Amino acid sequence: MNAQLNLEQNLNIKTLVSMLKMNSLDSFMNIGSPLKGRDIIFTSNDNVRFPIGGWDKNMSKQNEIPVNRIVPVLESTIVGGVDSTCLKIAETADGSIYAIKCGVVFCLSLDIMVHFRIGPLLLYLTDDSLRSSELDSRLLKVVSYDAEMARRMIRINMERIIQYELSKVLHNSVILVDGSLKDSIFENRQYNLSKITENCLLNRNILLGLGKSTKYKILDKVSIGLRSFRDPGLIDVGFIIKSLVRNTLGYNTMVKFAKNTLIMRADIVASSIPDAIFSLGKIMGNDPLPSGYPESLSMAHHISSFSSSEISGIKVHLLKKYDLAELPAHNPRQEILGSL
Amino acid sequence: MNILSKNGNELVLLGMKNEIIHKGDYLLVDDKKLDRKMILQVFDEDYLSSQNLIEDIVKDEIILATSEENVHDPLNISSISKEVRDAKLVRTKIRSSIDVSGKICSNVSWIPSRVYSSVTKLSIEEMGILLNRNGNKSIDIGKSGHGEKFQIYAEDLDGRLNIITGKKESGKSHLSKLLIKSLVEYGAFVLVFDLNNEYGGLALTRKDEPSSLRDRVVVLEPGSLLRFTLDYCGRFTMSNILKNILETPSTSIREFFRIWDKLERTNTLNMESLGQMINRVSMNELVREALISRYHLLDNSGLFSETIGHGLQFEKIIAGRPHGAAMIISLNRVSGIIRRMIVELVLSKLVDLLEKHLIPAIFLFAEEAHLYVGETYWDDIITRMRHFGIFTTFITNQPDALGESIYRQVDNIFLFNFLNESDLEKISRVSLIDNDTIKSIVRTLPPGQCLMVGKVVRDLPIVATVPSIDLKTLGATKKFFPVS
Repeated sequence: MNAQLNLEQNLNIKTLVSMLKMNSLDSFMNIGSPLKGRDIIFTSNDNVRFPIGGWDKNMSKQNEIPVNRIVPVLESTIVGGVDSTCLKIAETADGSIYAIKCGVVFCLSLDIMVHFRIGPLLLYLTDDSLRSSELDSRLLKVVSYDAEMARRMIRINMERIIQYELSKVLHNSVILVDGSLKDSIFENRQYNLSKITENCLLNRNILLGLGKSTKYKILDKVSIGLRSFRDPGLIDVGFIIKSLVRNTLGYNTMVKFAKNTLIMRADIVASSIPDAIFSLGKIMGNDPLPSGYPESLSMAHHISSFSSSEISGIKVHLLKKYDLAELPAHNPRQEILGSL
Repeated sequence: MNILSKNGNELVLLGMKNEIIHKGDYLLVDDKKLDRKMILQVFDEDYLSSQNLIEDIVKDEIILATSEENVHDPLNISSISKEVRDAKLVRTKIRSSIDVSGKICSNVSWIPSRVYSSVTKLSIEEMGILLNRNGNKSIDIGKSGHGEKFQIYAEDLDGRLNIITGKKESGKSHLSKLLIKSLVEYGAFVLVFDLNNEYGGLALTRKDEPSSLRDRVVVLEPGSLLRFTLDYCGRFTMSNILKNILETPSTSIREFFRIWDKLERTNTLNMESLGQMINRVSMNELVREALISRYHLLDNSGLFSETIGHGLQFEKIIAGRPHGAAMIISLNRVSGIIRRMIVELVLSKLVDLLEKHLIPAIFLFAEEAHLYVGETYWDDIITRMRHFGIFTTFITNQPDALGESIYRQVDNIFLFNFLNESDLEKISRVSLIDNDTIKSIVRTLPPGQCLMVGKVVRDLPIVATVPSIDLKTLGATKKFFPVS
């Protein structure tokens, strides 16, 4: 009883409110006047969403960057798209098991020629196996504790091996990479982006990193001219990107492959902007671009994604082949919070 | 296989592609925790379909249709995932359970554990032991889907009402010939109403050599061997023919039997004398007209012998073949009314003989009975005559042609393939087992395979393929174009 009275005397709602006001979050809590009258889009499940027509329709024309028209180049050129998916499949007391799948798709003259399905391959990441890798000791800790980082590391390494091989084997072709061309912290000494770029230059291949979305809102603002441009086009956003990010390769551009389609971030390893435009023209002339996105990349994504039956297959394979004992498991979050 | 779900008396199991299961197979669920067993019968199979699986299949199909595929799958996980896609739902009906003493019981009010139960296939032999199916006179009725030999017992056909039904050319006549052959081999007497002249070949093999029934088959054709004296037919039988078949008014029937009695007294009861007397005796002219027309029908039927003492006698046929006989009454060349007269005459006479204990019980095989037996007469056949010792097997491709009363009293049904929805509907409404089993199994039965229901299988339906028998096939459809 005394303890209850003491608690009520020392801690009441007013005290809590005053404590919140002294907090560093206080300045963000005044949402009324800064928010009033603004345009808004609601996000869901951390999916990146963009307003149709851009954030600021009334933005001054002065902010616009000149748009370069892309003309399809009807010269037969192989366009190869690479993508991969990595999933965490299981955990043991010592580490985690990941599965990776890669898809490589080749297009020529607006037709899909051939595709490669690689995997599922299984990887078992333990402290011991990570220690024996060439990873930096700080990264090693991050990878062993953070599944998202581990998945990124596996994907980067797998994709780089494939891209490296393609850059060696192909000549006068286009290699499409999902995402921007930026050195990752997980780059491998043997198959890193620099070596791939080097090979591409030697074999006269075009290396192009294509990102469906960008986290930099400024890029959306400056691409207003490209959005209203009726034809396929490109704007050079290198001066913005280089000021924000280090380690990017090639020309940093925003591209649109067809009228009313998605504006994408494109990093192109080329000698000049006209050369980059010519490279994009080659993609337009050889890769079907439904919805303005290269079919080779889109199909590589589908090939590399895991089906539910594959996930079941992997589990069966593990249980059958390695004599594993599946332990009953529980979901503490669900148990505590309930199914609602 | 594992138990997945239960809905009413249906248990759904999860099976893989390599687990070969046929519709109609029996499975045993052994709940080790409860120490109880349950007998299930497979009635349908389905794919395990989830939205994800369907999406995966569609996605793969599109990718494969788009370009040539090269796969590097060192762990061969795709083969396992293909197995997942081929996983199947085995739909079963709970038929019965086995109690602690190992005996079959009908208590299925419990559900087996999904965790501690094992599912195994039940062989025909194991089923036979569980069902305590036994007898001295086995009939090899065919093989199960897994090639196991399956037998029924002649004792289970004895005193029973049976139906063999299925669509055209599904194997009905084949099974009825097999049953007739087996019954006669066991010394039984079988009478067949042969509508399409199919059963005459029972005495011969396919190579025209004498079969095991050799001299035990008697083909009785109207006008030839199938001729009776009026005296043998008797008043009762003749009265039935006049009343039921020839629709003679009662006054005329009375007049007819007045003449009959006169002829009997003078020992001159034959067709010729009967005709003369009808013309000569004084009676109402309308009655005479009625009797003359009936007389001509009787006379032209060829069923009645002119000479006293020179007619067919069933008891003599039976006495002359003490080890069994098949009496085939050929109905294919006679008109509808004569067909009905023959059936009436034969059945009435058999009842008469059975009542007087002059012949043993007889198995009657009636093909497309609705074509020669009036609807009201069916009840008589299946109730009264059964008590006297006529055990009928109806063979038909029109299940709706048989009255509900027949289905209600039927003991065994041999079901061949039916595709027609209304036939399936009729069968499933009146049959001894559930709708789902009938519709699912019967619809997919290949020719020659039948679903047996009833006493012969102790009320647990069994699917078997009827074997071929080395008997001469008669009654083939005459065709215009020669068969090469």
